Amino acid sequence: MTGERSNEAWVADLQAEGPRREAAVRDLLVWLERRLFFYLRERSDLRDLSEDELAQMAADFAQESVLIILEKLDQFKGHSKFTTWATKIAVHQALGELRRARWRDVSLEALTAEGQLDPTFLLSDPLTPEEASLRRAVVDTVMDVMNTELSERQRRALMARLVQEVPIEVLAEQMNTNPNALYKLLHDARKRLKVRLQERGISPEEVLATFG
Amino acid sequence: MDMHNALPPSEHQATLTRLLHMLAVTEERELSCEEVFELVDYCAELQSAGIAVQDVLPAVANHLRLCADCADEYRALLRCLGMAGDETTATA
Repeated sequence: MTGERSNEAWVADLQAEGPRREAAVRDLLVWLERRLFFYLRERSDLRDLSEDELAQMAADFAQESVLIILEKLDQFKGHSKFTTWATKIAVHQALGELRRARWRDVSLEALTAEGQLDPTFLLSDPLTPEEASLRRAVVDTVMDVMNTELSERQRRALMARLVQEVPIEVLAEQMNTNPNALYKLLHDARKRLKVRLQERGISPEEVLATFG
Repeated sequence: MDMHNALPPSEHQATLTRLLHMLAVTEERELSCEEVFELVDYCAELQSAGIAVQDVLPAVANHLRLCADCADEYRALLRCLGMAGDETTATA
């Protein structure tokens, strides 16, 4: 069914009344459920779940996604196939829920525990004097900027992303902000760090090359 | 403040490497997660047609290298649509 509908037909059918709309909703639900199921089955972190549990999870995600898609129908601009657009929304919904579930019981303190680079790790690698000096300069610059130029929120957010790889929406919620504002906060911090390294003649690519 | 205790020594090199990867692709102007979300369905179809996202929408490709969450969702979208390819790798 889904392959037979044009974008315009999808929108018109989903906006219709009665059986026409019901059929379109059913087709969309089946389309999303099937794709989410195959995707969830491939995820290593869900390997312990049975096929039935995965199917139920896919069905739940698809059901929630269809409601969101119906609400956002007027935002579909036709830049892709309708089913691609709908799948994007379903994936966002499903992965968002999985991320929130994974981090649900982690406290704000644990998520944003402060930390900084300890330069002693540089001693563990056999480096040429030039490489050691370069890495040392990087660590010194990074620590200096983090301690003197970044705000506490920037420092905590950056370390949470770097060390624990906390999802941005989870971190944003814990820090009482939104993902876009948090992304900007982190972007400003990265720009500051990059500029300071460049001022000292250090390029990130050059340092990365010393890690082999 | 004593911040050394919070980070196990084994994580230092990995953290520095992740940071450097991020700084290497940091640009003055970057798209937000919301802006990228608006474009990923179009990008997925470009990629399925054999067109590199980097060539058409380099700012999206750059964001996908920087943001692990958006990159995960993009990979999942490709998988759901039966597209195995993935030209992006988030560094953090």
